[in-house]
Amino acid sequence: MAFVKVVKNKAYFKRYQVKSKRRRQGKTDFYARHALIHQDKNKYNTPKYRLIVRVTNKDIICQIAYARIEGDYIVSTAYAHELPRYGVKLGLTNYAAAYCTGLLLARRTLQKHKLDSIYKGTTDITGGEHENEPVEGQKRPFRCYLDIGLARTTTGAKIFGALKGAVDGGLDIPHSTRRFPGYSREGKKFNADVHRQHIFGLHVSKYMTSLKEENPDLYSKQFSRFVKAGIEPSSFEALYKAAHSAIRADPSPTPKKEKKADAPKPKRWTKAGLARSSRRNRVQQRKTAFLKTIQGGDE
Amino acid sequence: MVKLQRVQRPKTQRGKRALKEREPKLLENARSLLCIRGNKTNNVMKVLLKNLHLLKSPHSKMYQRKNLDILPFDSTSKLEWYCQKSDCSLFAFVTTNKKRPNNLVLARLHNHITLDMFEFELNSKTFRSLDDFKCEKFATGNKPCLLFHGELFDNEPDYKRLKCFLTDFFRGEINMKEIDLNGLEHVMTFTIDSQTKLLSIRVYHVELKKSGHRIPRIELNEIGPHIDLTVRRTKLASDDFYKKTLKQPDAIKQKKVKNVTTNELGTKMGRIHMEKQDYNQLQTRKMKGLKRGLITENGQQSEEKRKKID
Repeated sequence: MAFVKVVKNKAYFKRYQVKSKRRRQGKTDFYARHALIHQDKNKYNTPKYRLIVRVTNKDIICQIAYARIEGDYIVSTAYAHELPRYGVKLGLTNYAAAYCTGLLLARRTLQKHKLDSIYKGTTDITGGEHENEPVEGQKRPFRCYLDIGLARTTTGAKIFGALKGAVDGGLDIPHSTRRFPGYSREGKKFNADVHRQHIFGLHVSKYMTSLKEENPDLYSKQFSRFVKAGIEPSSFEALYKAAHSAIRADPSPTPKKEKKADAPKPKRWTKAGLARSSRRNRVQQRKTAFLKTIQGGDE
Repeated sequence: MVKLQRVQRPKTQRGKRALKEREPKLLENARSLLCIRGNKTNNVMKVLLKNLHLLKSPHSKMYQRKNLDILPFDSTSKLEWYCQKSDCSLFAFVTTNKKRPNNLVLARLHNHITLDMFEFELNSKTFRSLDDFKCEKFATGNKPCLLFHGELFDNEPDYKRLKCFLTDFFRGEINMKEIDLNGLEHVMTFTIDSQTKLLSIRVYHVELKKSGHRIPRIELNEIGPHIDLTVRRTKLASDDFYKKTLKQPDAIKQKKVKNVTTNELGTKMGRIHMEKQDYNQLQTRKMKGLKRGLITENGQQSEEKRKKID
C-alpha cells in the first residue's frame, strides 16, 4: 500500500483562512460588488446607489441601497407580497409582478426624495425603450445601478422586468433592451410588443386559455388558486393596468404595526436549549442511575 | 540550499490583468495596507487593527491568523514577504506583551523594502472604536482631508518624517485630477503635544449645511476611531535610501515648453523672438492705387484698358 500524505492535517487547519462570511454562504459575488460600490478614481459623486433585485421562490425583493464602511444602508424597499394591496393577489413571482414591484419601488423612492412630481416615467406602457432625461431647472433624476446578485442574465429574465418597472417609474438606470423578452438574437432586433405582453402577464393568460381548452384537469390543478379566486385569463390586462395606476396613486409604504406587550409569542420550531441548572441536574441523575445499575449488577 | 522561486506565468486573462496591476507603473496605485497580528494580541488591539483596516478599505488586506515569529525591529523579512505576496506597501502589526503592552507598529515600504517604521503604544483607556460612534460614516475608498497640529511636526526632523509618513499612510488614491465637493466626506486630524509627545488621531465626518450663500457651512461630527498614541521606537530610512525613493522617472516630469509661460492670473503667455528686420523692405497690405506708375490721369488709364480688350 502506497503512503499518501494527509493534506488536511493539523497544520493545514491551523493556518487555513476561511473566506468572508457572505462568500462562504454563497450569497455575495464580491467581484461584482466591488464594481458596483467603488467609485472611479476621479469621480466622487456620493453616494452611489444600487437597485438590488432578488427573486425567491415566493417573493420578489427590490431595494435601493448605498454602501458605507460600516455596512450598507437601505433607502427604500418594495416586495411582491405588498402587491395584494394594489389588487394583484396571485402570481406574485411572474414577470408582470416583477414589473409592478419595480414600479412601486421607483415611485416610493421618488416620493421619499420629493422627485415624484418631476419625474413620472411613462404611464403609457409600450414595452419599448424609455429614458428618464433630466428636466431643465430641476433636480437631476435619481440615478442607480442594477444589482442582480448571482442570478443568471438570460433574455427575458424577471429581474429585468423589475428593472423595466423601475425605469418606467422614473428612475435613471443605464440599461439596454438586449435582455428584455422580445429581443431576438438572430435579427438583433427588439420587438417591443412582445415585451408589453409580458409586462401585462398576457404570456401567462395565453397559456391559461390554451391549457383550459386542451386539458381542463391539468388547468384546474396548475391554476387552482386562480380558479378559486375567480380570475379569468382575459382579465389580466385590466388587472395589471389598475394595479399600475393604484401604485402611482399611493406608493407610500404601510406604517409599521406596533407590537402589543401582551401579544402571543410565536410558535417555537426548534428545541430550546436547557439551562445550566437543568443540565447539571440531568447529569447528576444519570450518574446516580448508572451507579445503581452497577451496584445492582454486583449484588 | 538556495530556494528556487518558481516563475508564475498567468494562464488566464484575469490572471494576466492581476499581474499587470502589480507591475511598477509610472503613476503607482494607492498604497495598500496589510493588517497583521503578532504572537499575542488583546481585544483592544484586535479592534484597533480592524478599525485601521476599515479606514483604509478597499486598499487594505487583513490577515486573520496569529503570526508567531515576527519581530519587526529584529527582522522585517517575513513582513516584507507577506507584503510582496499581497501587493501591499504599508503594514500595521499589532502585539501586546508585558514589556510593551498595546503595541502598534506602522511601516511603509519602498519596492518591498522597509522605508520607515514607527512603533506606538495605544492608550487603551481613551481608545474608542468605530463601533462606539453610532452614526453614519463615509463611503469606502474616500480620500480624507488630513490636518496636522503641533509645532513638532514642523520643527524636529523625526516628527517631520512622521508627518510625511502619516500623510503617505492615510492618503488613499494618488492620481486624482478632480474632486467633487460632496466627495470630501471625512477629515483626519493628527495632533502632537510638545511636552507629552502624545499623538492624537481623530476622524470627523464633514457635513455641509445651508449658510445663506453659495459656500456651505461646515460642521464636523466625530465618527471614527478615537486614538491616542505614544511613540516608542522608530526605524527611519537612511538619507541615501530616502533620496533614492524621492526620484521620479523622467517620463513623469512635465516637459518644459520653451517660450510659454503662465502668469499669476492663469493666462498663458507666449514669447516670439524676431530676427532683425529691414524696415524698407517691409511687406504691408497691397493697395493697388498707391502703386507707382499707375498714378496718372483717369483718361489715360481707361485707354490702356480698352487697348488690351481689342
